[in-house]
Amino acid sequence: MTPALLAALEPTTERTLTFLGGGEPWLNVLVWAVGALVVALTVWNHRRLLPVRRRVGMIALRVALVAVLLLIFYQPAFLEERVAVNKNTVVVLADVSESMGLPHGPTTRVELERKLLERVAPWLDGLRDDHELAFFGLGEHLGDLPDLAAEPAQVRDVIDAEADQTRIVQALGELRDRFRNQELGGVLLLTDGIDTSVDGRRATLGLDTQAVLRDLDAPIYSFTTAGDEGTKDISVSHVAYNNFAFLLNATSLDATIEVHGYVDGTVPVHLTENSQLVATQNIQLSPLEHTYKVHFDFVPKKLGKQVFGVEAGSRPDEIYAKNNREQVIINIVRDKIRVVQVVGQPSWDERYLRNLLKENPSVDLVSFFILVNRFNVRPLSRTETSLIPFPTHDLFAEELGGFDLLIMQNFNYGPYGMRQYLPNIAQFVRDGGAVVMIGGPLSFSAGAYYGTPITDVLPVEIPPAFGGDEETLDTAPFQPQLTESGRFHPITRLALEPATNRAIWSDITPLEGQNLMTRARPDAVTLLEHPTLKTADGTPQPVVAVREVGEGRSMAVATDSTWHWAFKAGSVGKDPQNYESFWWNAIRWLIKDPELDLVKVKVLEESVPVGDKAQALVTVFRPDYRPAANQEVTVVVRRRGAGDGPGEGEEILRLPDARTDASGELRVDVPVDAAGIYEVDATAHVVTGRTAQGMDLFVGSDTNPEYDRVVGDARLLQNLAQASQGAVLGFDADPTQLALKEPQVIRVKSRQHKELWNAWWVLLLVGGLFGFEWWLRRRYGYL
Amino acid sequence: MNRRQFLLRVAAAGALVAAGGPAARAIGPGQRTTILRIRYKGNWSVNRGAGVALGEELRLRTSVDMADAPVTVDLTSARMYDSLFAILAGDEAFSFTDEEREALKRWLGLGGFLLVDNTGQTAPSPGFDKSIRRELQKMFPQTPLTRVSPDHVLYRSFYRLDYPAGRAIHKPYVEGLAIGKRYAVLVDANDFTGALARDEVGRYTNQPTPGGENQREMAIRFGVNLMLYASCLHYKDDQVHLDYLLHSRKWKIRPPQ
Repeated sequence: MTPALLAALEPTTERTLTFLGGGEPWLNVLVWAVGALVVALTVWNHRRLLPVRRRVGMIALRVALVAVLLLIFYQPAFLEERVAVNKNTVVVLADVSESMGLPHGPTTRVELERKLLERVAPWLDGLRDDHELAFFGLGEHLGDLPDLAAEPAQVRDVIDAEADQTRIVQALGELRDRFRNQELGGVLLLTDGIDTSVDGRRATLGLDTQAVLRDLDAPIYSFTTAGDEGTKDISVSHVAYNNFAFLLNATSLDATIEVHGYVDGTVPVHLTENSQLVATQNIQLSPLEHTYKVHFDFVPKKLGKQVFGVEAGSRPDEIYAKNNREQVIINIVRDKIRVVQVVGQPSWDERYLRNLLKENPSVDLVSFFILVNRFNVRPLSRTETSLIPFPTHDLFAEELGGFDLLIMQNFNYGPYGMRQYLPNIAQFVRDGGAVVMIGGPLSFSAGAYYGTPITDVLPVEIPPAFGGDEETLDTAPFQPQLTESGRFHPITRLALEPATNRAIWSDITPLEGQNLMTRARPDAVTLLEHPTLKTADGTPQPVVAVREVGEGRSMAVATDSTWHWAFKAGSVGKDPQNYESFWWNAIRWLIKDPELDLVKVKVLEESVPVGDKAQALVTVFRPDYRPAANQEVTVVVRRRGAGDGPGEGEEILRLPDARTDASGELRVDVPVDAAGIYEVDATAHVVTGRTAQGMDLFVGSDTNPEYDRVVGDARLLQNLAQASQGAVLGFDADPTQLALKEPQVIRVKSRQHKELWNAWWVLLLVGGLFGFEWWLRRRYGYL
Repeated sequence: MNRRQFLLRVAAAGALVAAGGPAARAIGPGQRTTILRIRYKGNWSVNRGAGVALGEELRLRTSVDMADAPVTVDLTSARMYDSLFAILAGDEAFSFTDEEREALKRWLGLGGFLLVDNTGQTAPSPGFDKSIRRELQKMFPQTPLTRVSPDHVLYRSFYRLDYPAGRAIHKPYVEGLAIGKRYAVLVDANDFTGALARDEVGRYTNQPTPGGENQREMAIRFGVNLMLYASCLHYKDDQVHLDYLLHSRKWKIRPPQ
């Protein structure tokens, strides 16, 4: 049994006078009429009786007799009931969350709270006659507090601002559960009005909350600083965003900015990407508004996880500045692979590659085919043909950055006046784009690319074309040879099993014709080479070579006959899918498909509170994509500062010689000691001569929900008060006039009527009155 | 000076103006675009010289690097895989062997494009028509021949055309058999090769009716479109969407209204 139930007082007897007689109305009228007639006749008969004293005495005696008889007619009785009074409980909820530590004028909110508790302790103590008292600390959950009315000296010991959540609505639910089937006399809620829960932020009372209040059935009196217009703060209270967006597609982010205490001027709100400013919007403040919505449209231009921040301009007199900033991580992915294919002349090679690209719904293909050349007889009227001008300027000066991959297939730039755009293509690659030049009579040296900027980004050096075709082209069929690098490279992986892959390549359908190269560049990787033709260095002529250039990648295919792998291969029963596999592998590698990364890093949580540890999983593959067991991996964790980009920032952890387990995995715990953007890099030498790298980001967060909004929301408290018949008061209010619920009276035993008329003394009284009158009459000689 | 001479002279003049620039030649002979003429057990050799004429017109009018001469091949020949463009013409009933049927089906499935030309004189040959429908039905029982819409890219793959012209105009449409999204077989009833047939000295051997030389020009243009469709597929459909692809994509943010 809970103490509250023991609060019932000892039962007492309570009497109530009732009348058991009476009866129908006509009978009442008749009785009263008879009584009145008797009295009237008595008065009439004694009208001449003297002296007056005697006359009055006789009439009074008769009236008394009639009155007694009337009383008997109504059968008076006492209703006796055994009753008990049950004490209800007055609950004091004292907010002990961190936000109570914020300043309020010259003092703090928690200090106001302490003073109130100390001040009302005597009043609370005086309630004990009819009420029990219960004290709780209000944070994420209810916490028991000692009887602060009895021992107010403990207020300063137990009331501290230290809880990291405030859940007012949930706390009322817990209160309901604790006092289920018990009566509350009232709830005194001491808080700053900041509820960090979702329900609390809504301020309106949901159906569940309304049910809780009905169950509590007690007035809630809030003592609060909420609604105090003197509090000054600007905060980013909420950022709405999709946690992924598509590369080069406009996306949006909505921020909710709360401004309190400032009524004019503007507040700048900045959107940053990896600490770099993306956009700024200014809020025009108004005295009527506290909440402002800011909408940002932006175009993500980098793949992978990027950190976006929303920062509202701070002012020096704010009570809390850290809530002016919110960071989120958005994973930028491709919606489609955007490919532009420029072709110097229609050919079967072009037809197969176009069909391959066009058939795949994940490719957004824009093709430009040169259908006529300077040797053609041009139609007199464009209305007769469907030819369009080649939009060189639009394509290479304005729109190129919107594509992932440029395919230059047997394409010469000269006739289209686009030499000035070749530097744009080179820069496009360095900035992260990809280009593949496919051979043919209009490509490489035969396309007069020697000495142009585009050769700087190709994987091959090409000879000048001064000597004629024989120096730039070879027309003989040949069987391409898989190089050692090609055995491991994903582009030339036509089968997962290395032996099977080698067998496929050794039997691959021969190609025809080769664009001759001076040599492969030193930092290029040659995947296929010519079986007999040599470069100037005496090395085999590269047929397929790739290179990483700046942020981008390039590829050279020194023939226009790879379509043989689809068409001619099928004629002799070979697998025509090898053509598709080769080109899809190439495209995926060129656009840096993350699935082809040999080192992958995955941080399990995108946001980790300061003081916790982040868990990172590093997975390493060998070039054939088998798990790299016992592989040496270097893991570096950096915390980026303002303005730091990828690979920059303070190094906080380095594991130079970590090793993967048998599954090729390595788990790393990253201590999060300070707020910021953390970058986890892992590198491994899984391919000879190259370093494979993986990276992931997470946010070390010190954003405390207690400080998301540091200005209390009086609406929630007002709604609670309105729904519970309570009130919202300041910390300086006088509680002694609060209307607490009276204790409930309970009838604990059956009722009993004690009849007053049905007693010997009533009969004696009637007989006595009659006898006394008779005796007087005889004495006065009226009988 | 007839039209052909005019075209040749203009081409020569154009070549002079462009002297010094590289001509578009394939690296190896196998990379040049060849017209295959299908040889089968039937009257396959009608309208001789049409393939040569079409090749020349393509060389004159487009950037397609045409081989010097068409190649006559059997359906089962390995040379079928020298090209993806073939013409099967005739005016009488015929039938394929199982081996030929299988070979043609594989060639079409791997990407080949076949023009079937009914060269009937006063009307499309019923025997030839019945034969090709039967053979196609045997090869592709689930895929019927359907009329190619006038809106199809075939009619604007290079020239803007309204109908398929030939020596005659028996039907203002062609029928097609689609594999996937592309027509792999087109069946023409207008004696297309008849309009391009030439004798040994290069003179056209047939007078197109009823349109005369203008109709022959339309037939040549249809032939050019056929080759461009075979090599570029639905490329010209892309152009319809060019504005959307380049300018209506969302990667540019429009200023607020």
